[in-house]
Amino acid sequence: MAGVSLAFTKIGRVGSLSGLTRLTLQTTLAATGPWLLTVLSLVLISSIGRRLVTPEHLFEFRALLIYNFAFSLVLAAPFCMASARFLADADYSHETKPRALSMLWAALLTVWLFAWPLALGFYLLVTSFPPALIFVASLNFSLLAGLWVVMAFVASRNDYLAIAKAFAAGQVLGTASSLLLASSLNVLGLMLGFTAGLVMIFMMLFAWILRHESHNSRQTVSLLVRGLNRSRVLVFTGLVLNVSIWTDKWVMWLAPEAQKSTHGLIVYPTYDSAMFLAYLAMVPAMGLFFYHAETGFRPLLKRLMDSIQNRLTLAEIEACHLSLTHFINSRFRSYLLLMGTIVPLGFILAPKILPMVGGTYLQLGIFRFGLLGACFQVLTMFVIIMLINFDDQKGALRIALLGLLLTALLTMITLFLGFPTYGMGFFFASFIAFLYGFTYFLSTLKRAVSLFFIHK
Amino acid sequence: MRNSAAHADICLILEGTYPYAKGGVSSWTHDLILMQPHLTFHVVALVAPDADLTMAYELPTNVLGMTIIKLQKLPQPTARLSTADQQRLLHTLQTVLPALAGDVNAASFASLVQLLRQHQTALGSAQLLDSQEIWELIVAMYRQSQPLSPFLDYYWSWRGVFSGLFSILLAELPSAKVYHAISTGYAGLLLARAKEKTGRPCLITEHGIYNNERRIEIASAAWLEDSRDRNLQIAGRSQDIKDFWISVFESYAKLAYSAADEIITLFYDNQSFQIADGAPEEKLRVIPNGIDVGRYQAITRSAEHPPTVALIGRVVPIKDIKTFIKAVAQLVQTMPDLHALVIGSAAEDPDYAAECNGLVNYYNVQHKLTFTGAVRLEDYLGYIDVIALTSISESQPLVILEAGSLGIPCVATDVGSCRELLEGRGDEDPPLGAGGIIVPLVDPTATAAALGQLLQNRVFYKCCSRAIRDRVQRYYSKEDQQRSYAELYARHINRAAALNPALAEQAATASSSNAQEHV
Repeated sequence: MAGVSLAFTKIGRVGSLSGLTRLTLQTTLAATGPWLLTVLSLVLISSIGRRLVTPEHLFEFRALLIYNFAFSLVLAAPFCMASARFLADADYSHETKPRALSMLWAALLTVWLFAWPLALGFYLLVTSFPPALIFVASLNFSLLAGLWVVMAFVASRNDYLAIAKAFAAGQVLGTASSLLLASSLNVLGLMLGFTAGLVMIFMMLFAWILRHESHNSRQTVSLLVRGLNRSRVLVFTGLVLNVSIWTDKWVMWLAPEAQKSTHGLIVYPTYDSAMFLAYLAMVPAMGLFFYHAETGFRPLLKRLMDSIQNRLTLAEIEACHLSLTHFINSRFRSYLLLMGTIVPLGFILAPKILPMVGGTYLQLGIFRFGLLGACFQVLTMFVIIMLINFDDQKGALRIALLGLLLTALLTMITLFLGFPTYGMGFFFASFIAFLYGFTYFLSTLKRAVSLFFIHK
Repeated sequence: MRNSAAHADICLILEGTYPYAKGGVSSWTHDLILMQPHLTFHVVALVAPDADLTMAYELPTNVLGMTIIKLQKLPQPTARLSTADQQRLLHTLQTVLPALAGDVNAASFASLVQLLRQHQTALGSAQLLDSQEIWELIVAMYRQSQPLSPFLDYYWSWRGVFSGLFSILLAELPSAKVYHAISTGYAGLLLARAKEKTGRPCLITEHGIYNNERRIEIASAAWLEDSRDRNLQIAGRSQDIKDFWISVFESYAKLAYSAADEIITLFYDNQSFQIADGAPEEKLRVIPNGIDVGRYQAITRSAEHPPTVALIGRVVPIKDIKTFIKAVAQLVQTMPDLHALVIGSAAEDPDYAAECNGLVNYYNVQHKLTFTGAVRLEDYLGYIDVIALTSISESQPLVILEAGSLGIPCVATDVGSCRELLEGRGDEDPPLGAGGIIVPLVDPTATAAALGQLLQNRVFYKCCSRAIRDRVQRYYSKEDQQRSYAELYARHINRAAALNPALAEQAATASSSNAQEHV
């Protein structure tokens, strides 16, 4: 397994401008590939599917996927965090007993134990979909929840390329089979096809795990319970982070402009799609962050930790700390520069971009606030990830909670203020959370050496 | 566990011994309490945070209460510290803590004690160990004293040393008329705090020299070794973590000696170490351990037995049993009928005991040397001709006195008070002569030669036998020890009463009721 870190380092040796462009593109694809590929697949299904099924069928298909993606991410987040932490701890302590697969099994089984009844119950009670569609939608939900767990596992082993490959193959299959089945089975066909793609992704990632991990432990559930208990703050942070990403959308589903599908699912496509598009603009910065995290931040952080563990003098430890601080400062400047270019560009080009992707002028305001909000939310997420790496779990949780509460509160306020302010709540919430988070992070970074010693 | 609000006459402060661990100091303390039935005691036991608190002794009835202080474990604060007080505390710590690791000053220590007492309920780990301000203090102290030492070691040493200090300064201090610490170290530190708080008489009895024992322990602590190549930077080696530990314990001893009104030890040789560690000469005094001579003299000596030598002591490295085994192996070459015994428990260090057994087999003396395990010494003393003491460290070994009371001479290493016990003090009048032979440490040949000399030269043996018996009877009886401590306590209780008249009334009532109880 080469791992993303090695691959990134190799890519990073290219010094020319064209090399830099290629580097950004490649890292973006490797790190955010799954997301991009999923969006691409949905765009293709929507645009080609328009000729095969009615707009209402497409609307219901998209609504079903939004529900499944949103809630499966929230459900799986605690288990993803617990197993990622478990694997990191096992690696750090050079654990020789192969218990990783046991942890994965435990997380998967537990997620599915909750996923099936939750999805079935929800679709049975809230919607009036036919039983076959309810079954497929629930299967889709459970697969997605399991997929996040498996994906977190492979990501924690740093093989983002394996994830990107699995998604590429799965989404090709999913798109093709959705379109093939759409004309005969309508929404059921679209869902069946898309789910087939997910099955393929899941199987490919699971095969990757079986190929790389050995298994000789009988502990499964006890491992998971211990993992959840030991990193409960981290698990809760993961949950809060995932909830806060979706909070503004959920609140906006209460807007008078929101739409209800024939079978009872409520979504607000005008808001949702504008926000998804805004997030899409953040992909280059996210790619760059993942690249920096793997090739600079983590190695420098490890060097700092090793300097302490290897009993170096304080002057030597502080030199490592200084390198890390310089690295983070310079990289944050580059993210701000990148976003400072993308966001104004997005502002200016919004009237041209929106019609190109099937949007309307109604979405202009939401998209522009979304760009600003997504920019600060993504930066806040970087801060949270780095704090988790410093093992300041409580600090990370505080920032995530602030973001969640502010997003819920300010989005609700805009709901009362009316359409022109839609998206503004999300922007201000993300902005305030970022200001707090970044200030907190700078002070943490300054005190980083002491944090490894002081008992909290 | 007893606890009483009543004032005890004597507050005994013990570190890592009575009533939870067996051993010389513990049994001495237990006897001391039993020997003073007219007085009441409060026992303060300083223990490690994870210590096993199974009682090894049943507390005598004149112990009114017991306080357990877990070293390095700080209480949970119940109040909040104002910012101004926090600043004041930090300022005091900035002055006192570096001094404790260097040249300690009793006045600044007193200011720390007062400040901590004033804010006792608002202080805990978060304020004294885990705050950012304390971190900065640690960094400043590190930079000033040993910037080339591994920081990780320095940090944990700092926490280890000063969390012990804070746990002592924040702990409950029982009320008593006289405070008596049975060592320096943390016990001495609590004594210094008691002096600062109450102004009442304070005493120290040192068996071994605490600082010497710490020095040995720290010098051999592998986890404090800095094995990194420093390219012969001599300047960087001026002070290291071990020096830090040692200098802090030296400071604690200085504070304790300064607080004590009298500093007692078991033998005169110890006093030079105490003076070197800062004890004022005029406070020093010797009260030797005594034994119940009558009890041992009742033992009948057997006339018919093979020549027998015995090492009486636990099978642990500090007793250097291996040197004794090697000496026996040499001696059997010239005395084939020799019988050797190792009388003492082998349970404390099974690995070492196994090594000793291996050595016995290696020298093929398994038929000559017997490990008895823990037995009643009285059952064996009648058959022993000479005892051997090959210890690397001792204070005042009671076995020399117990065997000596029966006229059994001893071959001992030159540690603790062995020379004083065997050859007599300089002021012995008239001189009684040698009660045995002193040999160098870890020297099986010299030990074998000395044992052979005693066993084979009957005239010399008889001289030594008479000398040791007479010396024990004259200087080392339990009655003398009891009288000395009774007089010492009475004098200081009266001083305490003079300092505080309310105590005088209490003393009279308590002492009459105790006397009645013990009639």
